[in-house]
This record gives sequence, C-alpha cells and structure tokens, in this order.
Amino acid sequence: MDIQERIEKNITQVIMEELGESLHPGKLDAIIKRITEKLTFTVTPDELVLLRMKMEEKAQRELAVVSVIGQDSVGIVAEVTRALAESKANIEGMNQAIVSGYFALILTIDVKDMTVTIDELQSIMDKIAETRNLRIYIQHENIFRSMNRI
Amino acid sequence: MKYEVSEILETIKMNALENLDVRTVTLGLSLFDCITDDAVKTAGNVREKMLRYGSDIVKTADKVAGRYGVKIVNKRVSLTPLSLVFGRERTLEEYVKAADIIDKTGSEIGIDFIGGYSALVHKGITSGESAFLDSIPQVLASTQRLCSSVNVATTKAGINMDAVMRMGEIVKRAAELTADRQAIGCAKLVIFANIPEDNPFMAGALHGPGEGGATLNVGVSGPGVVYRAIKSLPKDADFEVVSETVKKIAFKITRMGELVGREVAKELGVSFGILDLSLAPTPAIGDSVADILEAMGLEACGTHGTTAALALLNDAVKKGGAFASSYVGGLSGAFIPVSEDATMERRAAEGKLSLDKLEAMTAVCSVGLDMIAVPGDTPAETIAAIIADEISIGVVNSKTTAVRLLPVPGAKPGDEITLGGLLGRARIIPVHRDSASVFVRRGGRIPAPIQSMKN
Repeated sequence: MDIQERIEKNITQVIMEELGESLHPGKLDAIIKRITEKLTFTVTPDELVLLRMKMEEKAQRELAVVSVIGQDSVGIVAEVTRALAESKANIEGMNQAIVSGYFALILTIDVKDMTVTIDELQSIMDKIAETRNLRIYIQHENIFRSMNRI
Repeated sequence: MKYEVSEILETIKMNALENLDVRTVTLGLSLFDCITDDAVKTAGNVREKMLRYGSDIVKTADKVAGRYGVKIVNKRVSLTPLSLVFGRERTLEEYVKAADIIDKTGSEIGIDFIGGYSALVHKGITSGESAFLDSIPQVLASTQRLCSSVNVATTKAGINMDAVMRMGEIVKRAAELTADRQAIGCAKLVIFANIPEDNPFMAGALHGPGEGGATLNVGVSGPGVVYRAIKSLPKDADFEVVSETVKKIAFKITRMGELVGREVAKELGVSFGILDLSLAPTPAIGDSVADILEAMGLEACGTHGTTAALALLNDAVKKGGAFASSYVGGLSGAFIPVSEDATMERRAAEGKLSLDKLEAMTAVCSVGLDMIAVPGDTPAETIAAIIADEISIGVVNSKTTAVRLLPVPGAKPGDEITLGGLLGRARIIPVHRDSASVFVRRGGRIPAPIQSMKN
C-alpha cells in the first residue's frame, strides 16, 4: 500500500468513526482528497518522523516495581494503592500471589509524573510496612531488566 | 506485567536475604597533574583533586543504591602509585606528612579506604622507590585509610627477589609498628605479581599509569547467592549442572554491578572503567566462599578436592560474568581471604585448611595468600620465601597473585586476633620452621619464564 492510500485509509477510518453514516459518500471523498492534498503540501517527511518521535517520547514511561511481601491482612492493597495515588504514581500492572505462605503483591508503577522521588515514596511505604508487619521494596525497573533480560 | 513475579522475588531475595551487594565503587584518579617538587605540596594538590572529583561519591552512590534497592557497601578512591607521583627520594617525615594529608581527605569525603601508596618495582628499584618502600610501615601505622601495594614481579620481567626480600622485612616492620592494634598495618599492605592497573578492591587498588584522568571501577560480590543456589541442587547433580548454576548467577550479579556502576559514573561525570567480577566474601554468616566449596560436597574446605572445586567455581564465575559485561577487569575471580571468610577462618582454626593448601588454591583463583595471620616470630626471610612462592605461581601462570600476611607480634599458632569490620578475625596458623634464608638472600632477579616470550 503506498503512502497516499495509507493516509486516505486512515483518514476515512477516523471520519467514519466520528461522523458515521450521517455523511454523504460524495462529500466524504471530497474531504479526504482535500486533507490528503493539504498534508502532502504542508508536511515534509522529515517533519512526520520528528512528530512521531515527539509523540513516542511523550508516551514514554519510567517504570518502577513495588513489591509488598509479608503477613496477609485486610486492606493492604487499599492502603498501598492509596499512597501511590496520592503521590501520582500510575499503576501499570498488578500481580498478587501467596508465595510459601506469605502475601506477595507486586505492582508496576509509572514514576514519570510522580510528585515525590522514589526515595520519598520508599519512606512513605516504610511507614505502611512497619504498621502492617510487611516489607515493601521499590526498585527502578532497570535492575530487573538488566538481571533478567539480555 | 513485563516481569514474572518469580524474577522480581528472586532479585529481592538476592539483595535482602543473600547478601548480594555491590562491594565497592572505586574512583580512580590520575595524579600526574598534581606533581610538584615538594611532596607535601603535591599532597595538597592530590587533596584538591580528591575533593573535586570525590566529594559527592558517597551521596551519589547512596542515591543510586536507593533507586535500585541494592547496597553499595564501600565507596573508595584509588590513586596513581604515589611512588611515581613523589618521584625522587624524600625524607620519612615528608612521606608521612604527605600521606597524612591524603588520608585525612579520605575521611573528609567519607570514604573508607584509599588505595595507591604503591610502588611498581618488578624489575628494579630506583633510589626514590627505595626511600618510598622504607616509609611504608610508618605510613601504614600513622594513617587510617591509606592502603599500600607493591608489585614485585611480572610474567614479562620475572621476579625481583631484592624487592621480595625487602617486602619480607617491610611486612615485619609494619606488624611491629602496629603491634598494639593486632598488626593492622599489614592488613593494608599487599605484595603483588602482575598487579592489575584497574583493580577496585582494597588493599591492592591503584590507578595505573596507563589509566585515564578519572574512572569509576566497580567490584561486585555475592558468595551468599551462589552458595544458596548450589545448596539447593540435588546431591547427585553433575558438574555441568553445578557449573551452569554458577554461570547464570554470575551473569545476574555482573549485570546488576554494571548497571549500578555505570549509573554512579554517569552521575559523577566520570568514565566507567571496568567491572571486577569477584566473589568477595565477608565475615557475615552465609557470605562465604568456603561455604560454596563445602556445598559442592566437601566435608571441610581444605580437604582433598578443594582446589578442583575452587577451579570450577572460579571458571564458571568468569564465564557467566564475561558475557554480562563489556569491560571486565581488575582481579575478577573468587577471593579467599581467610580472616574475612567465616567458614574459611573456622577451617583454618581447626587445622583443616593449611597454608600449603591455601597456596595451592591460589593457583586456580584470584588473588593469593590473603589475610592470613602467622606467628609473630616468623622471620622476615620466611615471609619473603612465602611471598616468593606465591608470586612465582602468578608469574608462571600469567595471572595476578598477591600476599597479605599478618605476622602478629607475640602471637603463637592457635591464638586468635580480631580485626573488626570487614577484616574479620583470624586464628594464627603455623608456617614451616625450616629456613629459606640462603635462598631468599641470594639477591637479583629470577628470570622471566619461557612462556612470557609470546612475541
């Protein structure tokens, strides 16, 4: 599929999704043709690549792993996730298991827009850990990547 | 989830329960731009350079350690061999004063050891180096953090037996001057063959003349992790399984060290040098190299089979680590420092691990006869002969070997000394009483072995 076909197909898809059947088919074709022409004349291929890079950069996350291990009790998940929410750490993944009789909760969080540093979050977690007889570790994702991925 | 729960728990287990840590981040500094004609003034320049590059090393290392949830046990600095920096002959007072300035700077920036009160005399001793060597015992007695290393042989040059004999006397003198502190001076003095220029581990760290301006070298550790993995294998697991197990762990340990090291280097604004993949034990229970050997199936470290077990361990660590890091350097192998390894120390105290067996073990691992307490009445000639034996193993096998002996004044075989901290404790073990005096006093240089002729 050449570049023009791809652009047309994508634009058609978006317009169809947004406006649906209410649009006259002839009008739709005219709109697509004009947008394609405008794009061709106003955006260079280099700019498209740059735009793509910027979008990816924006979407890039910085992940850390929060591991909660210890005695099971009511409300652990609630308390830990509340603290994460208050620090604006977005939860990207969650896994809970009982390992050799111990409660193990593992959260992957995005620390990019966090309002506290990892160190500060660790001390917040240390307080929760202390009252609930748990161990909570926060580690930047890179350590797991370097030790477990080639 | 990008990672398996088991992977995450394994990492946590290694760090929290099995004593896996980054043993040291060592900042190597070149001192050639510090040289003046006045040794004390030169030391002032060294101080300025240490402050400029090293002031943040502790803070930075702690920050990176926090980010990854790993411990960085020691933060250190290694220097260009000071005998080269001081150049010509100086008075003892000058050496001691200069060393004191450097030592105090180490305490100011919060590091635990500084390496580099060193000389490279494998082929000959200049008059400056001769005076420098004489100053070593006094400097080690009057400073806290400064460590000394002397290279007396290389595979290319052979063994400088004049230097070996001198070192026998210097070790004795260092012990006498710190007799009130269990001969602690000797714990900061290592005699080498084929000394590496980028070793981050103390007491033998120095920043070789071929190194760059400022470099960060990293030493990892992790005998505890290897021990537990071997221990969990069935008794009839064959050597392929044992070797593979060690390799996989060495890979992980090395990757962790490299990650942490590169990050500390980046934050300090210096280049990353090498990763030293050594299994370095600590006196902590479960952090012992001897435990690994015993877990392989030896009733006691030191019995027949110990050398083979150590050879396997050392080789597997290197193979796993070499794949994990682009720049492996330093000593890179298993360490067997007797006082620093609780099980090894116990076996030596029980008489099951002799000096002779330790010597044989050093042929297949790094680094050498390390942290061994010997009787106080051991003559300098005997110490020189022990050094010569050990050094010849390194020279002939094209590897690094080293000697760190403590002839504790007044101590007899069976007595116990406590050095504290990472240095641990040691029982005095006997040495052969037959004299080697005529041999070591012949003087001159033992020629380089035929295998050095590789060109």
